[in-house]
Amino acid sequence: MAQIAFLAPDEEMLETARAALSHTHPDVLLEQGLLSAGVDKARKLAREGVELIVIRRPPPSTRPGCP
Amino acid sequence: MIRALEKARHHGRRIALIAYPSMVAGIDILGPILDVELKRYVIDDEFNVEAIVQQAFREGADVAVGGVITGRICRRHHRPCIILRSGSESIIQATLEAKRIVEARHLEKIKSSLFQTVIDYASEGIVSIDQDHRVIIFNPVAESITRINRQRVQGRKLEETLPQLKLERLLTTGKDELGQIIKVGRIHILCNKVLIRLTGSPVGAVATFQDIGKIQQWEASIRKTIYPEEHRAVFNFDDIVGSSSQIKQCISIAAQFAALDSSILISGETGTGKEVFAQSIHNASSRGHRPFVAINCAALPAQILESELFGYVGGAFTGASQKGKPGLLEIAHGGTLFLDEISELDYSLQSKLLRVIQERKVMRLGSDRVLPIDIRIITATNRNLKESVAGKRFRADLYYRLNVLRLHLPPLRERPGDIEPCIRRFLERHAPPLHRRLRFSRPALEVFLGYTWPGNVRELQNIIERIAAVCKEKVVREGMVLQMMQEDEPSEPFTVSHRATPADRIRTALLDARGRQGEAAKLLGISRSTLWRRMKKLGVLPARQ
Repeated sequence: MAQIAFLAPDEEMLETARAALSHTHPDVLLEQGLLSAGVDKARKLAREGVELIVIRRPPPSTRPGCP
Repeated sequence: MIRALEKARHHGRRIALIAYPSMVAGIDILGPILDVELKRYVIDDEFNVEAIVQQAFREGADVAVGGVITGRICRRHHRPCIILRSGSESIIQATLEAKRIVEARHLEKIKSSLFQTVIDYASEGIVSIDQDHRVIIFNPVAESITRINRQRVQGRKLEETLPQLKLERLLTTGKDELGQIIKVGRIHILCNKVLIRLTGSPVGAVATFQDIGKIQQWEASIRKTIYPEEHRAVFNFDDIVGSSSQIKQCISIAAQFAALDSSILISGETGTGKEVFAQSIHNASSRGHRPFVAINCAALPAQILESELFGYVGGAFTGASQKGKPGLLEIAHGGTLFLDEISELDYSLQSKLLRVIQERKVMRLGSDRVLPIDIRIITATNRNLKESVAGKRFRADLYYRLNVLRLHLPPLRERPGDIEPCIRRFLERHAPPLHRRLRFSRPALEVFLGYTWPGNVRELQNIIERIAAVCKEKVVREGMVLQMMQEDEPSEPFTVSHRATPADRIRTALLDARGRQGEAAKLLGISRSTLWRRMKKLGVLPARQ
């Protein structure tokens, strides 16, 4: 199981990430999910052993970002 | 951001930037540069985004700039929106940062695992507190020593759960406390307490400790490993032969003494089996698996005996081994020290031995390090020690220290009924297999029974060994017994002989060596201690140099 996953909020960003990482960082798992679907996906990834999930916006009340 | 604003400008000059605070901070400067009216709408909760979007357009915005959720809401309300998207560079940047974090976390886990293993498998109890006195480390050995469950103390103030340790005191005094002996429950612990400092300021304290009982066990085991295995008792009460009431009573008393830990004085004529009794008592006692160290106080000159008893450090005196040597008192730690012929102990050594018995500590010659010892002392004498006390040859205080329990062994002539069982046992032990069924004629036995046995059981044993070695018959006759007994008579110093007696030879050697005993011993081809012993036995006085 990959140690790092990138959780994109929409398909377009997923494609951008795929283009940016697939060659240079193939060990990074790429997934897509927004709001509650994103939270569910993140929980599943954590259960499967992913250690760190990169998201565009941190969950509310943790770090500032863009909705 | 600039790319998004540039795109938004195509929809109109009034742009609403809908984002979290960090995204909009310092963004105002872009308005004049891009020639747009930039208005910030800060989101504090993602569920308010819809209301904020509606507010922005109500307030005249031509277009919104925001995240995916803002984009979805705008689309629902048929409003123009430019979505802020992360570029490849920021995704790669975030990935590299993520990898650094994962690597750092991995290293941290390794370190933490190492640290945890050290703490969990340390042979010492470890307790650590933070600056609020709360327990942050309480390892399994600490649990076992204090009999307190880790869950009960973890996170709680130490003074509430283990006040005896007084570890929090260090945070006030700022001073480490080393080598303290503290009582925790029913056990004593040896404890080191050290302050934990971060850039000079105290941030906590750690205590490491050991159960003193355990330290003593380890010490005994170390001594046993390092020092030779020769100090063992081989005899048990079963080895003592005899069916007489006297010997049975002695065994019964000795067995009772084995259950106690006081000093024993065994008296009895030479050859009555004093050391056999001493070894049997040791083996039957709780010290049975520990060393049994025996020394004959008459066998060595006082100075040599002192170094044998107390040991010495390297170079303590001329001729001392460079490595030093542990003393017999030290080697006997945990076990029994048997001092045979105690009446012959030099007067000055008597006081040193008394001090050891009183203080339970020993110091090697030439050393200033005190070693605590735990020994049981059994002494033996074939003299009337009380007379020696009266004659000021033996210290009264030492006599009373040694004579706590008293065992007197009767001579063989007072228990003739034990002679035959002894003969049988010695034949079994010493005779070649064919001779083990050797029988003694009645007159031969009468000789044994009529003899006074000044050398007691040892003398009887020697004669039986001799008979077993030379007898070619199945039955031992009176004549052979008498012959063997005559051969046992001392002949060297007391018989008339044209040859020089051993005493003469020693005197000659001493004269040749001008009284120097070391040289005389060399001339005779014997050790200095053997020479000394023989001089004493034969009554040869040291020659003047």
